[in-house]
Amino acid sequence: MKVDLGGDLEKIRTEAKKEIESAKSLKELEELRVRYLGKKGEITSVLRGLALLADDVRPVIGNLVNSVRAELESSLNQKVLKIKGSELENSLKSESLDVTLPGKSRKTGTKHPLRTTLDAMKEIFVGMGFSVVSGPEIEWDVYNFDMLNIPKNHLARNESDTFFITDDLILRTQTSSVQARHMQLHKPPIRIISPGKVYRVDEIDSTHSPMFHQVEGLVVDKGVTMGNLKHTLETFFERFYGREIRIRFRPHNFQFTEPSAEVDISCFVCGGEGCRTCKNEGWIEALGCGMVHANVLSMCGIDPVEYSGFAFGFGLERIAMQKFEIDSLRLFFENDVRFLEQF
Amino acid sequence: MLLSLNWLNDFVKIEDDVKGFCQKMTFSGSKVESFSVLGEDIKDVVVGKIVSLAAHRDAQKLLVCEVDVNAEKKLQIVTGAQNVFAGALVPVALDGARLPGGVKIKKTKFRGIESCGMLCSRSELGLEVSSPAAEEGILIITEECKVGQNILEALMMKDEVVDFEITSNRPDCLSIIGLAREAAATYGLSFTEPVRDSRYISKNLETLKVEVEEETLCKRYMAKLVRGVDPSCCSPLWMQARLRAMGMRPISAVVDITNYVMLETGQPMHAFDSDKVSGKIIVRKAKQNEKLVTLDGISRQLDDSMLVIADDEKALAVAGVIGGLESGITKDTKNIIFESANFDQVSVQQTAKKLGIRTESSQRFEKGLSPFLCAEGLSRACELVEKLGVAAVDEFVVAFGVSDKKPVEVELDCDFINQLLGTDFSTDQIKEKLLRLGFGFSKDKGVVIVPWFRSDIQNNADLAEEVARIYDYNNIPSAPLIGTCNGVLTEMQKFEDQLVDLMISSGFCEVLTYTMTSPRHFERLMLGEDDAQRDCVIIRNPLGEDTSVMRTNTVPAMLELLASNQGKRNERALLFDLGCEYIKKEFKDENGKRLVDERPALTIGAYDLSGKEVDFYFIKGVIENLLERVGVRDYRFVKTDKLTYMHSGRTASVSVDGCDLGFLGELHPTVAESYGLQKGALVAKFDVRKMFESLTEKRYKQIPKYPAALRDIALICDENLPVFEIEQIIRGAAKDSLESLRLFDVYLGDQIPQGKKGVAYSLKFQSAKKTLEDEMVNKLVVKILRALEEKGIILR
Repeated sequence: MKVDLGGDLEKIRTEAKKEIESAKSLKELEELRVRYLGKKGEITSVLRGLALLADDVRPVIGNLVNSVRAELESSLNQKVLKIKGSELENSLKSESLDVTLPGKSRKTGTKHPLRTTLDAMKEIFVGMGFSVVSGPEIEWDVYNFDMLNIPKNHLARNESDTFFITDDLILRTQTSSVQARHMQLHKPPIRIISPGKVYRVDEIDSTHSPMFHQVEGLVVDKGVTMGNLKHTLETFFERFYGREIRIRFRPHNFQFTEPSAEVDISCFVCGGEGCRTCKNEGWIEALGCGMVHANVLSMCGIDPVEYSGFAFGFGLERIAMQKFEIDSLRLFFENDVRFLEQF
Repeated sequence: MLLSLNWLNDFVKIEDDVKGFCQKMTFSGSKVESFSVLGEDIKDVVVGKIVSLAAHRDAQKLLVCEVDVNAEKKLQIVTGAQNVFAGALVPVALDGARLPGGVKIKKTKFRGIESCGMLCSRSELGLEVSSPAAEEGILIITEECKVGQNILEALMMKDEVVDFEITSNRPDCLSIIGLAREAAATYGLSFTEPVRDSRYISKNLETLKVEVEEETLCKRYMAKLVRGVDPSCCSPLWMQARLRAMGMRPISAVVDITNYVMLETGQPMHAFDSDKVSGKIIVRKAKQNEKLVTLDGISRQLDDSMLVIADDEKALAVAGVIGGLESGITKDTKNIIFESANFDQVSVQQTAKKLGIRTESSQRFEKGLSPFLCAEGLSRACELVEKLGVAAVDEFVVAFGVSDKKPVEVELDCDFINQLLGTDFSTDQIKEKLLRLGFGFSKDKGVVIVPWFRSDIQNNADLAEEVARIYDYNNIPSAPLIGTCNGVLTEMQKFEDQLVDLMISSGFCEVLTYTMTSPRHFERLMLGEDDAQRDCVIIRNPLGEDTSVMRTNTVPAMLELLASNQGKRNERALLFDLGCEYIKKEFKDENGKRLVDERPALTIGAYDLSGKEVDFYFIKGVIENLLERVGVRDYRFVKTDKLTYMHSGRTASVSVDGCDLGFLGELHPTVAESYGLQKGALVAKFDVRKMFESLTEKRYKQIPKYPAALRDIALICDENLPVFEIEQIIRGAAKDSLESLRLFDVYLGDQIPQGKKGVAYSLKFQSAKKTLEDEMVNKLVVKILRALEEKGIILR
């Protein structure tokens, strides 16, 4: 019998590789492993045939057999990995989810939009060196009026404007009362904001409420100027709205400041071109401010010759309404969860 | 304050369009609210002269007029009015003309006769009609005008009117003259104060007697007798046009003069029928319940706080507010007394408010007018009386009160002004601006003399504002603050922020509630008659009962919000509020005596109509997590039935070392019902300050290195025994070796005897020093079980 082991091997190798390649399942591959590499497999039987060979060719053929065996083993293993991979892939497909179904996670709550607004303001002012100071809502008229240069006969001190508890105890009409209290106890340099509830005799409607919120600012130091006031407000608005904001001052009148001004800001939505938010004016009324009146400084024990200062007052509701495009102040107090959850 | 630009033009010539004017005035300190252009709705109406007229051949009531409108051809116009005559000057609406109300006029035929336009009446031109008599037919123009002239010009109906918001410190600007001064200063134009003829206010005390009883409320009272008024005299067209432009109705020459003077000078005037005044004029307080029928025909009951003008017998007018009907001007009035007086602002304001009347006069007095204005007003009225030929002005005037014009002086401090503004004006630059505003200077120029009409100027800061506004605030250079300051939040402020963050992370939305409330809540909360919460701060002048007291409890506001959310069909609401309770308590703070303690409270309210998740234990879990996270340790939950408005079996108080922090639980069903809430709403409230005081510092505790041993035990105990007691026994017996214990089951049922319950715990034993051997753990468990058994809690 003529033995062409070399030719047989090559044939086995080609055939085996073809079959491995076309195998579809792990089971098929296992069968191929048994058929070619098993104890009674074809490679094994070739090995057995080695004994019949001459001594000189035996090692050559032996090496050849081993390399074919190694090659087939590696092909088999690779194919196994491949099939395993695609089987996993298929099973993942069968586990697929509708990712558009709603999520299960528990909702966190929300801050009231007024607090969100206040927090943003606080952060900016604290960064500019202002401390946050608070004071009583039920206040002596001295702090709310007299020390702010508002004379006894002033219209604001009327029962038609101010809520009275007794003749000299009222619900504060402005958080400026905190300024007076603070200045009495602290020497300049002073940089504070005082946020809080204030009260005025107003029926509730879409822009008024008997209780609302103010954020007052006060700076007192040597050499504080109206130019400083402008710069402080410009810086604040740019940071608050995150874009360039122009501001303009209009002369106004407040008892506790002189000179006094009302401040408009260029519209933070359109930048001054005119839009719905600014009613096509390009400008939005923002706040009142001025240089602290010398009488106020004196009454609080600060020498107005040595020191000067400025004060400004924001209506928190107004700023929040503008920022979030809220069209009625009532919404803040109604606390409908469908409103609250939007912020 | 309205301003007719035609009228302004009498005093200062502004060469700017109305928009530019509004802008400039706003930035120099007179804020413009809006402006309107009068006469815009009238087009192609001209003055026509009726050349001839004839009866319509087919219609008795119609006249056919031939009208000259200074065009190529005379126009044929048919009219139904009977007051026209040949030679009359009338307003003619041409073919294609437009009239107020969007009316269009076109060539048309009346019973076969062509009419090439329309002759107009007053009302067709949008002019108010002062009396029914005046509206009989076509407006006959008596003023000088040209045929063919535009009617808007001829009747002076063309005007621009600007509406200003005048701040309370500038009552002088509630007048044409005041605004003219401002306009002149704004544009750098010269303004000359009107010069008055001194004979108008020469004195003769014999004829007219005035007695001022209340000199503090009436600083000045000037009266002038004018005799022989021509009752047929109407005010001229120009005056009527201006009054109309300023929103006033022309009435009669005398009344129109008083209004005109008030608008022009800012001095409210009044005119009495002198023949209705018996004896002298007295300025006095009203008698309690004194009655007066005012000009509007309403009988008013006065009180003794109100100032009136009276004669020997009766009240004639409410000072500065409104005149009386009886002494008022009528078409039969022959002799009048002009009043030009100064009344106290607060008195006028309070009287007007009590009577519920706001007049142009009261609104001006309320702002505080200068007593020096009285003579201005009176002189101007006299001037007009003569100019209009209403009567001869008798030289009888009486004046009381201040008359010396002693000006206020301020020593000019330019450094101060520059320092305050952040500018570097020279002394001359400052003076130039002040001069424009009518300020004077002493001879050495060091002292500023404040004009009499500027009661608001007292010092250099006031002058700085004047300088700055004329310069334009917006030209002041912006400059950063010099020096540094540390911006800090107090620990309490940070704690409140932390509470808010934690509540939000637990799924709660923050709400904002009114601190003013209704005392009715005391009943709804079923508080006892002597409950301390009933002792609340009462608002003397509340808007209504609902906001008449300061709350002593934040819960009602929360309940109302829960109810309103249920009312809006919101299935679920998890809410919290960080607001104060206002407790009457006398104490001292750093600024002195205080009468009310404003106590911050964290109030929680929740309901879920769709599921059972939101129950007592849900809220308890939220609270436990909150306390853990902020750093409150060793807190205890104890069942409480002390709160009238809470479910007595489902409410717990929370305390640390015997100090009450707050409570949580289910709302009492009766209270729920009275607030319109479905049963099962949950409420919690905590004293924020007490929480803050119970905070402990956080310190790292070593993570155990040695393995833990777990043991589960199932126990049987009395059904009503709080598990907290079981846990205390277990902890007491196990000492330090017990790392933690976890309740994992509570059960009632068939296998458990009546009145008992089963509880199951998972115990975790661990030591920081060594691995606990089984044997040791078993000993501990035995010890625990023995301790439990002593209390009647047995192993199942």
